[in-house]
Amino acid sequence: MSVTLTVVRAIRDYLVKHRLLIIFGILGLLIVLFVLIPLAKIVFLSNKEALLQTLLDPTTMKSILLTLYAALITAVIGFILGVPLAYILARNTFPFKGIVEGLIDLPIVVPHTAAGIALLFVFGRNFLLGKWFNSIGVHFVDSLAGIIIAMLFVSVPFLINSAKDGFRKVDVRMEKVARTLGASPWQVFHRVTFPLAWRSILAGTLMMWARGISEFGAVVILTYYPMVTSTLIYERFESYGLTQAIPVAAILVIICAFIFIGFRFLLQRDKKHD
Amino acid sequence: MKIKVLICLLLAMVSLATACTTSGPSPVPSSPGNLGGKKTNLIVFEADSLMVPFAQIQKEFEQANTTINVEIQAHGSIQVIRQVTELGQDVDVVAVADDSLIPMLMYQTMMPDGKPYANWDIMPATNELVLAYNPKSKYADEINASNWYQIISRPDVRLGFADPRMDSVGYRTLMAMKLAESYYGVDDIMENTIGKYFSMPITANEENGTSTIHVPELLEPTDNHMVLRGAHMELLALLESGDIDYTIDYKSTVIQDGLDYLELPPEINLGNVNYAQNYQKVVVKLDYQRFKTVNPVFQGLPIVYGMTIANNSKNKQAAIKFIQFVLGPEGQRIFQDCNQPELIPPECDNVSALPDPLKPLFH
Repeated sequence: MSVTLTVVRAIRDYLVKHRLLIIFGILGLLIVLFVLIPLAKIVFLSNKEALLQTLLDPTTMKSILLTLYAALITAVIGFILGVPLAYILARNTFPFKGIVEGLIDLPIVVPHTAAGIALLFVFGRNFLLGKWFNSIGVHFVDSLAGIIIAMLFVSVPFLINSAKDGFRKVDVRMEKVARTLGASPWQVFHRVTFPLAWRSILAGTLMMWARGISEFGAVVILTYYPMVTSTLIYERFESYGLTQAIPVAAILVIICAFIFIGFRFLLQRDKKHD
Repeated sequence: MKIKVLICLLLAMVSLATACTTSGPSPVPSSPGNLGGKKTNLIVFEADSLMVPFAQIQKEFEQANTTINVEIQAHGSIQVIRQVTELGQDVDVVAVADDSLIPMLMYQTMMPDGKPYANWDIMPATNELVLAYNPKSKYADEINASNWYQIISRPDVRLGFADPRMDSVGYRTLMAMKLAESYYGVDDIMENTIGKYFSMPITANEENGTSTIHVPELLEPTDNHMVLRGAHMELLALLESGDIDYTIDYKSTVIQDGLDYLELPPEINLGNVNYAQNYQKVVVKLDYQRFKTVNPVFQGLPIVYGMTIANNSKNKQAAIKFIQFVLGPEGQRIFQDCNQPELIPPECDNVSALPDPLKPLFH
């Protein structure tokens, strides 16, 4: 009897002590399931045969590789152009800074079809930038360049915001110490600031890559062919139906799961070595 | 520490989710939400070429019927029906740009209870095909009614083409090109403007005076001449931006977008009922099993819109009111204002199956 009582009491004590963790854990679990179940459903809805067939289908694989590749180039461009801006936003104050920061967030909220049309009306052949690019032989309709600008527009805020937070977390005093020890601003940036902020920057770059892979609305306005995976899923659904579209989605989910869980894993492991 | 693990787990999941969910086509914004709490939500799925007139109809209908909140979703016509029959979306009114799609896809597809999704088809409106262009389009200064088909077959001209597997404009464009061949007495206009620019060409064969156009399973453009899109509305944006030079589209949407256009002869524009027999000489066939039960063959016919109430509609009374409104004087005025030609008088293929309040409209 007393043993049971002790056990009950121990459990109660444990529950009381870890109340916060338990409540948060339950809430967290709910949202994890909310994300996990639909994704799992996509993967398990299609039978193994259909998955294998899709995996061996050159159109699908070409499209998935194109998507990963285009989003990667996009992330690299975002990195080159976005990290400097993030640094400026984290370290400097200037007039209308709030407006610039708000502007950077806008692509997240603008409906993506509208974003695609907006890009078309800047990079289209009759409009300023499009005209100029046209003269050097770069077109943004039905081309890799079109995919990239659509992905860049909708995904670059993730990188800039993450990098900005990373730079903000770096103690300015460290930079100042480095300066007093004779380092040039460039040396301070690449020896002190960047290495300390790189985790946030990398996480932001990954988010940007991920966002690029998933983009549909803006890409489909500019570029139908070559076909990114989201467009392929749409096309398969429109012209054949769900049964043909789901294996493509499943393959994309599986590949992305490997890539992104893998990266998170590497990031974590790396953190332990720090 | 455990919390950290938890947070990391969450982050990983979130990033995964962001990476892997694909966003669908953005839905057309519907009217403001139902704030009163007692309004009936009437769900209307429409062909995207009806977007402009139906937006106005929605506004005036809601003003006249304050207890009804109309929610409109626009898609390509085939998609409109598949949203209902394959995705099982709740819908009340269906309005498509090809009246034959309703018998083809709704009469023949059964609801879970074994009854068809629809059993009557009202035809409220018509349209015609025109060749849309931009004043800056290549050769826009020399195009006319006798040379247009030569100009749009030039390899340096970029022609926008709606996917015939998804959009009624697409298969109707193919029909018009084929009809142009006999009208102008020139061979292979369809092949030279569109057909040969795909890795698997769109071909045609003749039998007993009927041309059958075969659309292959895979449509991948081989050349910059051809710009394919899933929906014709996207092509109009590309036309405005100068990224295509020409596209065939419905006259009403071209006018609504303020674009220039060249009228096509009535023998080929699918817009004149007097030439219905001529139009019937072309058929577009999709060369693969596309839906579970139906293998669509699109017969050349005058362009007539179709409208019905889905048999699983939960708001039949409101749906009837909506159709009365569309066919009534207000709806007809709005159609005229939006350059959407109405069918006078509107027709119905199966008056006896209509809900009683709609029957008096067809006598």
